[in-house]
Amino acid sequence: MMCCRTSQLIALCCAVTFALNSHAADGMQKGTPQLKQAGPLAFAPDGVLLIGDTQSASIFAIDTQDHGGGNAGSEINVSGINQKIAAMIGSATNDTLINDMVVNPSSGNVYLSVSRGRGPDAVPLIFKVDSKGALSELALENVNFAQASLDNAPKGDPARGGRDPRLSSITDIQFNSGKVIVAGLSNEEFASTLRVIDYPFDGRTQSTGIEIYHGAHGRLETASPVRTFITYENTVLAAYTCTPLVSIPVDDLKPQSRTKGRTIAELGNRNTPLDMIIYRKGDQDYLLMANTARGVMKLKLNKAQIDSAESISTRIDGTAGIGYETIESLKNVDQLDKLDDSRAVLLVSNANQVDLKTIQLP
Amino acid sequence: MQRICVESVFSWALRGLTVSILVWGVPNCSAAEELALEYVLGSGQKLELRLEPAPVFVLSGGTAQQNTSAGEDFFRVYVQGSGADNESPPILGKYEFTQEGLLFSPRFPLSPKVVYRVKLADDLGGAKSDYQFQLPSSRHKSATKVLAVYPSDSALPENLLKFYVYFSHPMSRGEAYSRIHLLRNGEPVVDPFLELGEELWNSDQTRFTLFIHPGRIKRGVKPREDQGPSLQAGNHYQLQIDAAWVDSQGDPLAESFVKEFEATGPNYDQLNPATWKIETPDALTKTPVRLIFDRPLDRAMLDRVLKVLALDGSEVAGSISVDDNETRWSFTPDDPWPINTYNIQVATNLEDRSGNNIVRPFEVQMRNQNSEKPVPIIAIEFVVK
Repeated sequence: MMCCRTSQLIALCCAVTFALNSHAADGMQKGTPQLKQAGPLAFAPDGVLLIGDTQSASIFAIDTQDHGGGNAGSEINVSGINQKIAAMIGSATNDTLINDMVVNPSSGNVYLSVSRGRGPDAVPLIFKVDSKGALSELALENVNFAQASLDNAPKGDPARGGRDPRLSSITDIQFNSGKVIVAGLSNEEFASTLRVIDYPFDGRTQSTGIEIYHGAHGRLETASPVRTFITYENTVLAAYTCTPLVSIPVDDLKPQSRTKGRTIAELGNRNTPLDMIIYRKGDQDYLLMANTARGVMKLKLNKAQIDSAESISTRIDGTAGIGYETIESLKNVDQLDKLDDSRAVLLVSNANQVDLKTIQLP
Repeated sequence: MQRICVESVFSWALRGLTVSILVWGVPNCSAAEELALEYVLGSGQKLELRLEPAPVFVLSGGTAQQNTSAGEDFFRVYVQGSGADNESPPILGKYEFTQEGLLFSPRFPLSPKVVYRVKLADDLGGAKSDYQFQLPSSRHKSATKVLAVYPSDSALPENLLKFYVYFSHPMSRGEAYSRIHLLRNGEPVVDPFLELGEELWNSDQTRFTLFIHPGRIKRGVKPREDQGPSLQAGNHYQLQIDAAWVDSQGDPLAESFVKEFEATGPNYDQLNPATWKIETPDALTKTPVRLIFDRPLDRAMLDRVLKVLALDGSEVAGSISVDDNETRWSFTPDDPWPINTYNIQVATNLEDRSGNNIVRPFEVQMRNQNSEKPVPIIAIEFVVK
């Protein structure tokens, strides 16, 4: 990490735009990020929160100044967390949406992206839940931050009354070895785009379109969007909207190129994946996935097996590829993240109530 | 100052001996109860909600002008009904002692859909300690309605990929998939759509993009093999949109909406611009240049991914229209056409209704895979003379 930071510092010395007011090695500047929407979240090292903002087609990196300490083993449980946030922001519960949840690995505190309101003028907010379950708003005024724009498409011409109605919704973000990987889904063309951005942000965005084989009679799918993904041993494991789980080497995500992923599992019917984590128990790695139809699914992961597996190309009854089990005790899980090596935090929704719960990793 | 409509529950508050109610006459207050921006508490104290320039709660008179204590020692503001009293946190905001009294400025604008409860410290307010406030609602001039659903044809291919629903006012996010239903010959189709928590809206939330679940379209994948395609040729369908779907102000639609259509055979072919026809205008007129397609194309993309360039590469200013069930694209210049050679640039990601585009069909056979990056734009030349 130090060598990377040093080289970054050298690079920045040459960049006039970052010469003043910058937060040294992180390419950050002090100010107030103009966040228009707070969507998917991830953490970069040292307590830097990454926020996906679909409305401004950007990823914001914000220094939360929240690192060190760790969770020290306490469980974080907040019943009706959506109701409590609504009460704090003076809003009706059904006008308060929690969009994503992530644990800051530097501190063990939980962060939530929230929309106050459901209309186009909804206010984006970030809330923090500490190890005692106390809620507070993350102030976004006068913070160290950086912004990476994802939008390299021409805008509609305002002079002609045109307002570009296309939005590429950011569906997931992950940080991996100095890169921020972003999955998106357009509200017009049915296109799959994974983007890779060097971190700290330096103003360059790389885009990569991914072609994947689909687990069906050898057919090639070119365009299905990624719903959620995670990195594992320098591989992206991506869950696609039509149910396959696909592995793509991170090194294959080269700018302006196409690459092929390998379908390693087809997770079956009526399954819209929502969120994933990876953890180790004993000598075994596991993938835990929340999805709309099945509650939470657990898959055994093995890098050698993933690398050596033949891509599924024929129809197999039931579930093809890597097998999985369903964790019966976990239902209605919308979000999950690792709290530490043995525990996870979940957002569980039930009617109008969302609970934040800590569980032992299964 | 404006009148406030309150919940009928407020009537019990009138029993407080020292409460006074001030009413301003604004019509269209649907609730029978009318109310209150200001309460006289006794001991010379007054609690009010000032609306201008931004809503602020003011406690004036008596001890409120002392600044030896923290503001929250005098009163706190809660969302009514936000949970058990002991568990519900007060709303965020800032206290300030001024000559007018103790001011509380909420961190966020108050919502007209929420009843706010001001809880006074026990030694303030006399007979009671809770007072309720609610902002007047600001409403649209007219109820929101569905303006159109695309594709506009009444016969749609069974591998249709998406609908666009256009609304007259901004809508609310978060309930789309519970408000839209697909019926086949009068019976509900189970899980026909790709349901995404993000919901795919345009930026002002007047257009919703609804994808048919791609796993129900692609041949050979599990969802389709287990449940069948969402649309099947030869059947009659209704896309129903509930009136209960609320707009961004929390009001339901003026009425429900139904799009009726028949499903026809699929279209698996990629677009071939060689089959398109072009109608060229005469010089010095503002007659549109037109493209006539061999099949209906994506309504939204026809507004965005085609443009007209002059020979020098400059973009011609003008307006786009689309008709004939999205089979005809017309570009009318702002100024009469000079004699020149032009080209229409078309992004190759332009799709038909089934997601086939100019460089690949929606489903690509493995043997046809091409690892080269396709050209992003093609040009269709025409001469104006």
